[in-house]
Amino acid sequence: MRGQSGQVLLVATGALAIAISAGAALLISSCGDSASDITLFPDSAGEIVPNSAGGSDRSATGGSRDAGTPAEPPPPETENNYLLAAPVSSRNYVYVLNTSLGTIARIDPKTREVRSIRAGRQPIALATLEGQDTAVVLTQGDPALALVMSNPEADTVRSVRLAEPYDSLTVSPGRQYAIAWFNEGRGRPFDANRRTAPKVAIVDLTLLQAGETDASKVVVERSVGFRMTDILFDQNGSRAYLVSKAEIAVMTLDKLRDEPLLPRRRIDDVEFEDVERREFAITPDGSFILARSDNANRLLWVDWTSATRGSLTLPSAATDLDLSPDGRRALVVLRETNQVGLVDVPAGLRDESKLRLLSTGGSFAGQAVLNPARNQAALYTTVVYREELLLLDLDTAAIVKLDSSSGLDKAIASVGYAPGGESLVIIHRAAKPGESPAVSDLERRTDQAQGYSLVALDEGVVRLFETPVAPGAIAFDPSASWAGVVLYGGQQDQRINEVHLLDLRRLIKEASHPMPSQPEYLGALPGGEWLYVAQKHPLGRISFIPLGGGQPVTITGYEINAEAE
Amino acid sequence: MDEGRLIQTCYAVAILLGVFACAGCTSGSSVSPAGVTNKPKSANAAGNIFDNDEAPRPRGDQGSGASPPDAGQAPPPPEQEIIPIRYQRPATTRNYVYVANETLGKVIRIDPETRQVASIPVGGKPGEAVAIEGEDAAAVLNRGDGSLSLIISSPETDVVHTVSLGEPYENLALSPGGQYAVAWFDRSKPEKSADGQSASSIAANQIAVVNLSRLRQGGANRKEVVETRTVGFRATNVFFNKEGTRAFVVAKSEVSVADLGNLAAQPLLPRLRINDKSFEEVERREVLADAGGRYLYLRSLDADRLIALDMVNNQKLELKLPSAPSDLDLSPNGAMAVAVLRGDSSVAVFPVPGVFTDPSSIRIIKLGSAAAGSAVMSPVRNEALLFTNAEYREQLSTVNLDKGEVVTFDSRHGLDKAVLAAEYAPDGSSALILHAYLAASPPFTSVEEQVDATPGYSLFNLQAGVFALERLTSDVKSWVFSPDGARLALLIPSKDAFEVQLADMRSLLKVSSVRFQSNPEFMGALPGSRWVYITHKHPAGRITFMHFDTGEVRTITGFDLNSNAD
Repeated sequence: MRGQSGQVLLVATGALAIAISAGAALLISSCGDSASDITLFPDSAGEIVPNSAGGSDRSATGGSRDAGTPAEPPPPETENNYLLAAPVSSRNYVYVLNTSLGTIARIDPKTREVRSIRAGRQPIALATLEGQDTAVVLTQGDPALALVMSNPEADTVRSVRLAEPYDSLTVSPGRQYAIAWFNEGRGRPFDANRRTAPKVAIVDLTLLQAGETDASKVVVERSVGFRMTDILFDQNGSRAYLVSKAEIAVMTLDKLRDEPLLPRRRIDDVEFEDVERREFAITPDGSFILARSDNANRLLWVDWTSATRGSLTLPSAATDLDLSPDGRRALVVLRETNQVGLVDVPAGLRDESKLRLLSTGGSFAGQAVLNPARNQAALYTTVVYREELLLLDLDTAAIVKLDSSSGLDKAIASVGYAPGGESLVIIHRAAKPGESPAVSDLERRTDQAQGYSLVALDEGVVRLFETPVAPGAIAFDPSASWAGVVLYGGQQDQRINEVHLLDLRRLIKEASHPMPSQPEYLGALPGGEWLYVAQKHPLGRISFIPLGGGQPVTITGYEINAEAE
Repeated sequence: MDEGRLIQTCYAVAILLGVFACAGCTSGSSVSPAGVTNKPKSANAAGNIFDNDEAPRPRGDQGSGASPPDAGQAPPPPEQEIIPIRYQRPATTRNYVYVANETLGKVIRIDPETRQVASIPVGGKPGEAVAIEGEDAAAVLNRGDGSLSLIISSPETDVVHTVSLGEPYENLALSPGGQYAVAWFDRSKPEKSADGQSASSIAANQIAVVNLSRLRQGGANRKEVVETRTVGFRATNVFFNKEGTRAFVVAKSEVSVADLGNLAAQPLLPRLRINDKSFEEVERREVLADAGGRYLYLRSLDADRLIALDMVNNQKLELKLPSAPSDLDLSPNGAMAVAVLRGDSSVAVFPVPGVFTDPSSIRIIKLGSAAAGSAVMSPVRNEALLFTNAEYREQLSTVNLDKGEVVTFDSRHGLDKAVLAAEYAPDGSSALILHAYLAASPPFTSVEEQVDATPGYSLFNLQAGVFALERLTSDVKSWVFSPDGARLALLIPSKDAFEVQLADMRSLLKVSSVRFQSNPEFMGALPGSRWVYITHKHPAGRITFMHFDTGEVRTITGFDLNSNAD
């Protein structure tokens, strides 16, 4: 998972995106007890046992490799952003991009009133300012950044022109600045017609809020390196690190006008210039940036305090990198050697003997997702068809495997923890021809079907739901009792368009609600009573699904006037 | 004159050689580019360096990276010298700027302070205007009717004296002091006349010497003003001594020496033979003159030596080099020369002309794995940029010529395209890098592939070692720096419009961009001001002024009839 701080944005890509309510945050807390129903299965390569605390076991299953470059880089894991969401909730409202209309819909969760706001042509990205009823909108039609300030009576829009049609938006943690940029990072499909430039525009939101709209006063542009991929912030948002293909530009936000050219730090490592196969993370205080690459058997680090850099040799290339929220521990998944590495930050970065290696036994894990509420990581792979999920206790290093014995009967595309960390939603991937290891026809059909599973972690129970089309967006309510998942697809005359309401406590599908139009965004309203589904409709359409039962309420035409259906 | 050509009496535009010592540079074996067959691009008669559909590309078949030459491999191609169209340009005098407007058949006189424009009729199809030192006067070669016009301006009026030269000469060179003009046919590129036809039937092996002092007196007949003389086959350069009393016409195998004040006594100009077959391949050699016009320096891709011709003592001197130099350049003060030894991956630096009598004064600086065939000298310090455009190589080096320190930049430093040409800003703190691109067609499968196959330029901050790439859909045709080097204007034509981009060299940002419909002709900076001018091909005359700092645009149309500021 990507460890990017700052507010993550909801971007109108035309694909389904997920909005998780503001209460959904990924945290690590103390470990829970292992479940009595979970079985440890010895693997053919050896038993899965916890490694002794404090020691590393370099001779664990999979062995170790010489530092340097793997002979052939392993195929990259596929990161599906079903469960990465942009918080678009403000203090009292939820803001949703309406790409059909080119407007912003503001929803009052209490009354479900929907108001349509015009903030510029072709809005493409949206963020909210924490603690305020203010949304930040990036538009491409007339390149601009707009601030939407809402109160019960009205919405005030202030916008400032930008010089380029930037397509990504990030707001600093201090909420004082918005950065418009061209994201050329991993996972963005190549578009030959896409226009980019190695520059960013920094908008002073405080000035804009105060009414200043003169771009020369509100916007500062700065040159960055070729192919920018990440923006990382230190905790208080005073400094931003703009990561490009081969360098990192350092931006001190309140001294921007004193630095016409941002200082740069070279990455200086060819293997880390492959933007499609690398990942960056930053400690909360901004003192360390870590990077992994599919092309290199090492973890790169940059210490901004001492202006030094180095790398930690790993037994194999790290296929995933995660940082604990306190930044004290890094987790690297070493797929090719069937290991997971735990690195204390910063002490472990400079001392290879402190690298703690845990074997995954015969299990194949390439990705990790951190539990938001416990000291736990879920490990899985998307590269090969494996019906298994490993739960790693980061404190004890104990690994629990969920597989077909636990009811996990399909391979994994993506995993997401519910806010409380007690349950999981697994999005499965369908087996390609020849991939399914099943002997029986029934199980093979199951493997080749789409679907998702709900997992009760403490009980170790997995419940599979096969679906006619691939699951799309998922949203959790703040209490983590409910989840919604969108299903949209199929041929025109047999189109599936529905939202499943899932009871996470009982692991049942409470209801399946057909949607009148193609879903665009799914989210949960603060307050824990409703899910909302923003849909593509020329007049604007949003459906509200009551948690706990009942029929959805759909509002159509909020662009002109509201008609509740 | 071929509008892509630099006038040697002005300054050395095409930058070549750098010499540098490898201190702290990347280690590695020396490399040589693989042989390629494409020829360097030449400017066409319309004055464009290249048309959009035939933009120069470094030999794209090779892709990036170089490989050592095999034994018996064909000699490497010459480096390309890319000269912006602005050098086609404007003559700047004490108070005015003169720009030829071929469309109108006139010369435009611009007052830099007021930006007032006057249109001065001259002969047919005027080529570039050349300023006469010390006064508000300019000479222009009229290619359409084979004449020369001398314009003498005052606040009240412009007096024009025109004389027929008898042939449609292509180039014009003025002697220091402005007493004489030499009209000649440039045959340094493949032989073509101004209209693209084969020039073999045109009297290429002759020059016309015009006595401008006599011409300005008025009333003289052609014979009193113009002297025609035969010169060698394929003239490539014209130089003068610093007094302006002698002209040296360099041809394929000889240099004709004209005593300008005494031509009557020279019905046949004396010649100094080059006498070296390796230096007769004019497309593979380069000729420079020192500031005093006493020594001519020749290098050739086919010879591992330099020739110096002492034009005072009529002597030929030679300097042996480790390999054939792919570029030769003189330092701004003319005391030092740098020769890029592409095959040896090194640069030679030496005092001139002293090295010819003391070869031990040569210093060889190894480049390690850096590939270099061309050099661009800094205008303010003993430093050069090194690169090669004979192959697609994403690499640029800087060399401190005094200390011999080399720093090499590549994709790790944000240089993600190969270099076609480079030019320092006037203050030497930054540079414009024009990029080469590969001959690949869509569909592309990655950003890097698309970047490599499309035009672009980078702004380069030398001290920080930072590049900022600006990707384009068509080639840069011309560019000009503000006098302080803080700003850069670039002219980028496309099929039906053109764009002027303004860049800030401190922040390496493109700060504005304006599109125009009329075809641009010339672009330049008005001296002593913060304005850029762009002349257009327009039947009524059109000129656009753009402010370096604010991007403000003002267009004057119809200055040929009356002024209509837009």
